[in-house]
Amino acid sequence: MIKSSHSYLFQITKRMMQETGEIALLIGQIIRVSIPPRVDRNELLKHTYRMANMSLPIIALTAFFVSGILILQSSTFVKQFDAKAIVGWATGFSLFREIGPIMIALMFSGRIGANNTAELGAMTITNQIDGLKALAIDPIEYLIAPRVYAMVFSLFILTTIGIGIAILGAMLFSIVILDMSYLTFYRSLFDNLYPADFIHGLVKSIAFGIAIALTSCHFGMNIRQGAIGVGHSVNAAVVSSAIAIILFDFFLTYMLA
Amino acid sequence: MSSVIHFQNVSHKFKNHTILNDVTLQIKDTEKVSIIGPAACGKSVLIKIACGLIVPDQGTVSLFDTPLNQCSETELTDLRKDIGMLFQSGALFDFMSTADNVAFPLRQQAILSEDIIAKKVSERLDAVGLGSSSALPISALSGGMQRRVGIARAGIALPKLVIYDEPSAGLDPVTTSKIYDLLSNDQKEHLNTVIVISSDIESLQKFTDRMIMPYHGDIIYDGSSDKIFDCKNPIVHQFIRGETQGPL
Ligand SMILES: Nc1ncnc2c1ncn2[C@@H]1O[C@H](COP(=O)(O)OP(=O)(O)OP(=O)(O)O)[C@@H](O)[C@H]1O
Ligand SMILES: [Mg+2]
Repeated sequence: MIKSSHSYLFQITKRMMQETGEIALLIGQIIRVSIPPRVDRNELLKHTYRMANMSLPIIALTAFFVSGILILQSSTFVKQFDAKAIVGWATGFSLFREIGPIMIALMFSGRIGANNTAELGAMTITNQIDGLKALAIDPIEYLIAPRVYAMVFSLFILTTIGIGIAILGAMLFSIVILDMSYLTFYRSLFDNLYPADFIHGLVKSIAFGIAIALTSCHFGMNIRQGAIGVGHSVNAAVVSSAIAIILFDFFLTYMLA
Repeated sequence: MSSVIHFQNVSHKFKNHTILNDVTLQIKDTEKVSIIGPAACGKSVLIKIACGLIVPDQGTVSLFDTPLNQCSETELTDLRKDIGMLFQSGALFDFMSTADNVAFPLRQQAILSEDIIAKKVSERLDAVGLGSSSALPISALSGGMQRRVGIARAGIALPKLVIYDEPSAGLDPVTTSKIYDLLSNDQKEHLNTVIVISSDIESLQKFTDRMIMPYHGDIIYDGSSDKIFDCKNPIVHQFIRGETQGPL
């Protein structure tokens, strides 16, 4: 029993190191095709628009209700101590620095990352990647690099929009639920928060975007067994990017603190 | 004549399944070669090794006199600009229309204007009998139609080497003859090197001059297409006659 769980642990660790190594190679390949920069601006805008468009509704919805949850959770405490003066600051601080970027990244990973893995996976199993190579097209340059840039770029934009919606939501909920005035919320928010808090969240969103883009492309291009493999890969990509997001979050919070 | 593909002592296996065992083979400029053999004998793998899509375990593969193991990814991509290929699975891009698939190699060359590309694409699609399907997405085409789109795409940029993996699979006899006529005319006009993988021995004998048969890692026949029926090897003998009795 102990032995088998040991070997299981060993297998998992080995697998994780192997995948990490392959992702590092992918980073190298992306850098190779990016020097000198050959990003097609139209392609980048097209992908970014598509990705942002696909995920905006779901991200707006989550951002809005997460802000509502924050207000609801704090309502007992706020009412008990009449702590209305800190509501704006507290929600802003947590939304800018933590909850905003991480929630939006996880939603983005489920929506765009999974979609990207499935798309690349289907192309891999139908030999379209080999088809590109045989037609003298470097799939990294043609398929992967534009997607990676677009994912990082669109998550950055979506995080900005999402946090904006969440703040508006928090303001609305605090007026409705906590009976606060618009001005109290506004003061509390802008008198106590600094641009650094917002930048903190945006730096995280870039890191999360890179994590999602790399894992989803890696798992999409490394499919082993046909259509079933696509399912496994999408699953692996979503789980791995969630883990990567949490780990990045921990280290970035530590470093940026 | 310079060499287009050159295998020197190439070996490759998947797990315990030997595909090539110390194979040395050369295909020269302007040759018309067919690769035949029973299912899963390694025909498709052989050509994927030839264009660097699979790296063999051992040996040297040269493409247009350039050893692939010394090539960077960029140099390999440059070499492949002179190759056209029909994959057995088609490998058509499903994110493009039929016409865009066929136009793809020409657009990548970025030499011709869009007008000329459009004209060439419609000529090519007419030649494979798909003139009216150019706007359809790949998913709307039948298996045989997809194969013909793949054929049109493989040859359109007039590459120095064209490889067709099963060009006639799933096609009716009349269409098959038309396709072989097209391949033959292309070759006569441009004098490129053509490699065809197929089991349609009769058509291959008409179209190609040389036949190669890999089997269990060895090349058991490499010679003139006309003389293959004289070959004494029992496996070759049985295979080309389609007999049920024998070593296969
Ligand atoms: N990527 C791969 N991984 C493992 N085994 C493979 C791989 N590609 C091919 N093979 C194996 O190599 C053998 C030869 O495959 P190949 O596709 O070359 O056959 P083929 O001669 O083209 O057959 P067919 O006429 O059916 O197309 C098969 O047994 C196949 O299982
Ligand atoms: Mg094959």
